Amino acid sequence: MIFSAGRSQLDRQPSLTKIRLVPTASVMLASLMPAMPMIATTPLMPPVALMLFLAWRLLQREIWYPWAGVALGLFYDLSVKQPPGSAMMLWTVAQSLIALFDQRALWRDYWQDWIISALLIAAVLSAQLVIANWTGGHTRWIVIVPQIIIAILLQPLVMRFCGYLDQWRFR
Amino acid sequence: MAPQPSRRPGFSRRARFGLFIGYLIAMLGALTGVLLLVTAHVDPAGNNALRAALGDIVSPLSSAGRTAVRGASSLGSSILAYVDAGSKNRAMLAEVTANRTKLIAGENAIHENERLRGLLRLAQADAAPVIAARLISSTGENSRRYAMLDKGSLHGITSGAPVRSVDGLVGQVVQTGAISSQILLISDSGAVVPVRRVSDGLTGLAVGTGDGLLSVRALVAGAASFKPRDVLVTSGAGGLYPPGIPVASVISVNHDGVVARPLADPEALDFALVLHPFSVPLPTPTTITAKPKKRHKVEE
Repeated sequence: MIFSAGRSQLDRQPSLTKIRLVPTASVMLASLMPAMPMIATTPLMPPVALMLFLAWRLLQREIWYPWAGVALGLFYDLSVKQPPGSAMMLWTVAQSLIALFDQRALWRDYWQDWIISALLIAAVLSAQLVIANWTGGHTRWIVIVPQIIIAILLQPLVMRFCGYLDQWRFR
Repeated sequence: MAPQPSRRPGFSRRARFGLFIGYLIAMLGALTGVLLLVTAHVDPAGNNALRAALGDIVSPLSSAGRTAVRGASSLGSSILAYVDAGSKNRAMLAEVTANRTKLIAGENAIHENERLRGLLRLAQADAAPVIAARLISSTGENSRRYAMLDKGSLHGITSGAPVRSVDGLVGQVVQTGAISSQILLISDSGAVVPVRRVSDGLTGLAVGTGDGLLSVRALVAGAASFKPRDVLVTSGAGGLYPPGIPVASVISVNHDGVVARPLADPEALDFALVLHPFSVPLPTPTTITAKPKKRHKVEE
């Protein structure tokens, strides 16, 4: 069967809105994950929004505007109930660190991507803890170590998922 | 893999300008972030309006899914209950026999208590709770422990009100939106609850550790400190939390302090009661009536 029910399989134009919206929408949806109906007593959930944000950036160099970290970070702050401003600043810094690295790198491969995102995830989560403590908490760093490890181990999965989304949006 | 082409705008002046503006916005945005953090540090209460507004938006979403999740999580715990049924059964039998004698002593104490209260005419009116609300979500990505209630200022919830469940103290309302409110759980590392031991009234402070447990410090130095399986209730000291609400039971005592587990497990609890903030009646000011002595002479 050549013709499917909806659009023709041949000579299709991918929808521009879909191409533009998918990366942003995926990060924003992942930011809303803490609104999922569950009560957590320990910070264990990996920061999927940050992981997707980094994965998109590592997959497609020009996917984000330079100010994307500001906008998406603010949205993340508001939904995760961090002190507003923390992800706004940290995501922008992470984005520019990757840009700095890109200027020097001669080649890129899977392991590099993983190491870069692992370092950035650990750094951002630790900095967020410092900020949360500065604005009123007294949590010890050891409490978030499991979260960091889980996030780093899950990052290849997120990168693979991101690659799948990337294919899907051009379909 | 060869590196992808970099973000070079080429010779177009417009493209270059656009890129420059982009970086400028990024830098200004990051700076704004820092400024927002400074305000959060200086004025935490005033910083909450934005967050309360977003809480209102996402609360119906969480509320709807909560029912389904509750079913799934209770399934998990009932499977787990089968796994260690044998050892649990033995432990519970031992506990039942131990408790039977305590129960009798307890009933005795209740009667005595009522009699003494009647004697003192201390009709301690337990203030009715403001409202019963459902706990719908909490942050699993954040190091602070906040949870969300599905009722807000429209239902009469005010910031600062203590929150309890049937099992024990849950936390305190820290910000209210119109139809949702945020509560700070007692296990948050910024929460402090004055407690006393049920058996003898040894007072202490329970401070959250951020990982679902509490660390307890006795207020009396050198005295017999807390032991495992001690039950702690709120002491009412300092106001806010009404006295007598169960808080936690001590699970271990080690070199860096006493560790206790909250009795109200937020993962399992569903409904919570928002209470009126408790305030200790101040001594009447009539007791201090001594007139200031003749100091006015200096002014003349």
